[in-house]
Amino acid sequence: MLSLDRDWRFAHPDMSRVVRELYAMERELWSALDAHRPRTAARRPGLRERLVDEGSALAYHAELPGVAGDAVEVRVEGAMLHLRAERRVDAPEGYKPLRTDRHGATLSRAIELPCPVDIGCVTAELRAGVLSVRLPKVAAAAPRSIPVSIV
Amino acid sequence: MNPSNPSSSPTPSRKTCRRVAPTLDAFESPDAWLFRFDVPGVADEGLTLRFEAGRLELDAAQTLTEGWAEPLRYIASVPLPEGVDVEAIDASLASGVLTVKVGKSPTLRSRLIEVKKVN
Repeated sequence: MLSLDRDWRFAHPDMSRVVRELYAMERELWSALDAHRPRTAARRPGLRERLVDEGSALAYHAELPGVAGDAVEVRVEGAMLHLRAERRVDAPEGYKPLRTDRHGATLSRAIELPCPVDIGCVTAELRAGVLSVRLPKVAAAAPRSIPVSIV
Repeated sequence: MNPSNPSSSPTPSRKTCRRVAPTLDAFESPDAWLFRFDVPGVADEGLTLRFEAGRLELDAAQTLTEGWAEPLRYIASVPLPEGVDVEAIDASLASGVLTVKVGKSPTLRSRLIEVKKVN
């Protein structure tokens, strides 16, 4: 006789085995269903950005799809790179939304630069939704090969 | 990078790219459907879009993230309802966003029916 106070799975020595088997059957069922599910690609990763040291310059890149050129602000202040980008997502005129996964957002970044850069020579471009900021290093920070004297 | 060694080629072949699903918006109007896909870093030449067996098939390979990010391949297969006007599909790529407008066939378009007054 099963008592409600006790875990029913342990009421009978065989019960935990039955439960295990049921779980195994469930797993099998799900994997069988998975095999018939259409293969969908993994979700797109979130914002991808990177600061790269290219030797004589630093380069910052970020994927900013749907950000208009006038909605990006790039500022260099001392050893900091400040970024502000706003993405506006409006429903097109006369359409009603069926599914909206793309969201408007504001991105703010303050990136510490690993070496001093020539502020006057910093350039930024936005191309196909990719922002690229090129920050040439000051001469003192640029790489220099040191001849090794054999003694 | 050694140019004589094909395995270190800066632009990997499409097969080796990681496949990901782009984020997507879908809209509907009485005359058309409209889709927007986020495909940053994709140039015109890396993009194919086709309507096949009732589905909108997108394959867009990134070519503009070279040197700083692993190139991705955006793959999407969007089932469309019946009544697509195949001749009225327009697509444009701007700021890393692909916009596809799919016209509805005339039989599907909604029309306001004027109700006549009978007195």
